Amino acid sequence: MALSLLSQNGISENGITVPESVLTDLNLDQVLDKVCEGWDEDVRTLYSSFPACREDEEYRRAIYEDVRSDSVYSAMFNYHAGIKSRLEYASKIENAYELVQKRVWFLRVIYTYVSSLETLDAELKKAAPKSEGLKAFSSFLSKYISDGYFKKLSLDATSLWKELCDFHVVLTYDRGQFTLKDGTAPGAYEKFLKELFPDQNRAFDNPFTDTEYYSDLEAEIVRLFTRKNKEFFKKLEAFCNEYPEVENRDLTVIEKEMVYYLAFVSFERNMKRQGYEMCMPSASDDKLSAENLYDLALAITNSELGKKVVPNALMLSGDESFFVLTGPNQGGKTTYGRSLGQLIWLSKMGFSVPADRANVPYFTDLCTHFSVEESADSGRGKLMDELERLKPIMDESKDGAFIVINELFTTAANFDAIEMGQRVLRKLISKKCKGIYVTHLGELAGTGEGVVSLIADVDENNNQTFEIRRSMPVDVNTVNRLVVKYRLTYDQLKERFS
Amino acid sequence: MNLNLLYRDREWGSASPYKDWLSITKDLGLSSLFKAAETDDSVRTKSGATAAGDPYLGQAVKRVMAVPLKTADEIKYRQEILKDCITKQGMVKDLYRISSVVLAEWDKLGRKNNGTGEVGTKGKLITDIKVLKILVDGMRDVRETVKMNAAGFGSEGFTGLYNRLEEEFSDERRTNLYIVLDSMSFFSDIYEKERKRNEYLVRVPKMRLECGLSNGLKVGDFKIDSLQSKAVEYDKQFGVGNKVLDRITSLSPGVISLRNDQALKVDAEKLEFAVVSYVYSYCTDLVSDFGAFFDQLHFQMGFYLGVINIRSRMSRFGIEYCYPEVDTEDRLRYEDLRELILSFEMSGRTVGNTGRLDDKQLVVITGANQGGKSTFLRSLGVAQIMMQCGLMVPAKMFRSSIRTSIYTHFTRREDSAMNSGRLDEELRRMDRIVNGLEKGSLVLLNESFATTTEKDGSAIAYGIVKALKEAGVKVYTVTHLLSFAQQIYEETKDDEDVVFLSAEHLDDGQRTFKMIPHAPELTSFGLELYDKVLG
Repeated sequence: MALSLLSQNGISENGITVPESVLTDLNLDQVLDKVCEGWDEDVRTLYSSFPACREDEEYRRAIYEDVRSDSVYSAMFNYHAGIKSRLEYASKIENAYELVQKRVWFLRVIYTYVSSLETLDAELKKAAPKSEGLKAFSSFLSKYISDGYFKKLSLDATSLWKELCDFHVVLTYDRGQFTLKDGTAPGAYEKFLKELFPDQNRAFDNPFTDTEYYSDLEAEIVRLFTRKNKEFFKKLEAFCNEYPEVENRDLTVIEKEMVYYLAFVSFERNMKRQGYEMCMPSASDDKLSAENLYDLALAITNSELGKKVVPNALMLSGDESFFVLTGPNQGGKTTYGRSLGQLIWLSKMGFSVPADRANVPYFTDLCTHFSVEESADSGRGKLMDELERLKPIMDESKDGAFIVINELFTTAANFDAIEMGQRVLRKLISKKCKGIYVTHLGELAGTGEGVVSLIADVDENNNQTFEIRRSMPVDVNTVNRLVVKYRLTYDQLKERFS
Repeated sequence: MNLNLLYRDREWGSASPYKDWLSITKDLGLSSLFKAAETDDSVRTKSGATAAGDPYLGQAVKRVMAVPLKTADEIKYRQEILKDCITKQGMVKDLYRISSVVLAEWDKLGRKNNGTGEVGTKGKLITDIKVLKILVDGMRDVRETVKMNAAGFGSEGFTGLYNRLEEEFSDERRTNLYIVLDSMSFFSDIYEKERKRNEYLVRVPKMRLECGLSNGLKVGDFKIDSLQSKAVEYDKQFGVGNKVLDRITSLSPGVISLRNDQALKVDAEKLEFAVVSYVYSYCTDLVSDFGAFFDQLHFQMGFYLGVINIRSRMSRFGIEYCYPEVDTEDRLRYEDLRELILSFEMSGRTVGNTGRLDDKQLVVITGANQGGKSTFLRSLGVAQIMMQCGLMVPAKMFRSSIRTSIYTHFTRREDSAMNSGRLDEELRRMDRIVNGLEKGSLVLLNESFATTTEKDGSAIAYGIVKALKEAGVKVYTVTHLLSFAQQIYEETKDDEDVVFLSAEHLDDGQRTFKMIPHAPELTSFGLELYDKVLG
């Protein structure tokens, strides 16, 4: 059976495709841009579908937890870096000008291949992963590298490589000429510099790396050098003739799947450095809950601006099914709705979530419906469009899914909008869906059983606090006098100082 | 390398200023003080006028003053340094001058743009090395200047600086830095022109490098074994100058001669650039370290020089000063405390106040117009801010405790062009103040809420002052809101932590401009003034 880090039965390509609109509605496209930054381009496709079943979600969550640990992370990270170098060296074989240079690069590709696999094997064993997936991979790897052919390849490549690395020449440059000698020099000036500037490590910027070809000076050096070391170059030729290209199909698939975890863990670590903690959610069925849940996309934007995000709590338990969230504009309503959607997405993918603590039960799917802003169409056109987008969500296949709705039927008459909104809510609840409905229509909070009313809070001065709490919608249009406006009455001050 | 002449444990920068420093400078009129810092009154031009001032000094004083010290230890530390500066004014001037010259020369080489030329070019590297030379020379001068004055240091700050200079810029280290500079001198012309037998010498490199070939047989893993710049006569750059001898050596085995090979010469130049870049890269930390040092030196000496100028002006006008004592209890005592800004304007002809306001949470000042109430309030504010800047204070004695933050809320008569109503503006300012308040803050209120009716203003002031006091905020207020003063007085006249002061008013109606404890009266003697002016 094939081995996969994404699915326990070894088939990684049969997940549930997530429509791009879900990702953009929840601003997860921004999160993924950040996650994929600096990784191979094709990583992004791995994030575009959910695991096929509940068991696969758990399978991935276990692996992710392993990769979060320093030891597994660095083992996998180093291996990934090795792959990158290997590809780079392989491209140099193509570009090399002389046969002898091609052989030297080939040796390096093989050496990197064997040594990075051996290192990964040793480091994984030491890290002792707990997940089923990584345990299987680790034992597969051990078996692979103890095979006789691999062992001989490794020995031959290593010994030749070491020999090449040991060659050194000393160049003296004085009054317009270079003198070349085999061997090493004590590096006195280098030592002097390092003593004068302790704790500094500087890289020598090699001036001849801009091309794969030899510079004129290098050509001269190589000419003198190969003439002196004929023996070594004979052995190298024999090595190249003995071993054809080496590749293992199982490994290339897994190498790609590793990035699924690596990229996200690096992202999580990066967020942590900015002061944003994430946690692994538990998955019991009794409730959907989170402490200090925040919008991950907003956190990314804000951390670039040096601003903080306001975290909120989440609790949906027992017979509660759907939140109806109302409150003033710009009060953080949509942000809260998004953060719930992100929570479900991340949890389904097996990742950690932006909260101090969270429990996310299994949902069959995740759907979003966000009103399209500034549509040129008005009245019937836009309403039609909304209803059509709503239709697939009402489909049987979405029973038991989590739904995020942001402002429905804004172009319809109030009476109609309330009636339609309530019907949508009742229908979704009867389908055993859970979710959140962000709206300016306070009346929806009274839809009935299963509906929990939330409000985006304001302070005495009608300023948004970005805090979300359970409460029936309130009318906040009281007029305040100047002093009250600036919260400077005795009572207000007492409260401000308390 | 840290200078640490403002703080024991850190350099200037990134400290938190008073939250509403702009209001404080405006309300207390501190800009005259900064102006005074710019000019050395003792230096006169031929015509007898004072020499032109240095605005940088005023700026430095202003910026340092904006950041209050928060402990008695910090204040003591700076006071001691200030005393050394006053005894060794020549040294302060020298250090300020050295830093000015270093920064000016560096400016010419593009300090603001991080050097001339693009990063990674030959031109940039050449100027970078010149900058390094300027900084090392400057450090040498600083060390010598400080060393010459080291005998009389009384402050921990200067003693510490002296020790650090001796340690971190020791003779050995200085010599080695000049060796590094010298080895790179073939690349960047840092010396005066050298001549030998009427011929200019050029500097040429001599180096020995080790390298490996594992990177696809291209050279790599460079290690520098030696690097020198040799001064040679111009025609001996490529060989010993004897054509036959040079030709023979160039043909020996293992020799690659650049003679007549332009491509090889280009490669050799690339290698020279790489080697010098590498060596210089070790110095980049030093450049930013020394660079920051000179920025700090310029700023910190600018500050002390500014304070020296302020102090000279105080002496010239006969204003006595003292170094304030920081009280760990909540005591406030002062003897002949003057309002410095007004004293400068009046050439020293001002009245001082003497008193003690120990353990007072609320000070309410009422009384006659033109009686010196606002001046007194400002004198307390200015002295407190000068104390928390580590400066001397214009009084025979001043003793106060540290305030965690200071705010001023003065009615600004000049703010007539406002969009929103004036009360709105006053309240908005108050709201901002309240946001920053904490236990131990000091708020100076000068005729606050006088922009509305007496009745409304009193109600607002009453609520705010009462709440502030109860929150542990210290409030000194000058007020004309008599209902407010009366109400507070009725409630708190027996409280130990409240005091009511009034401008002294002799029996014959004459004002002394002194503040004395006095219950608030229902009149503010406006009638008398009316009589005097119009009667």
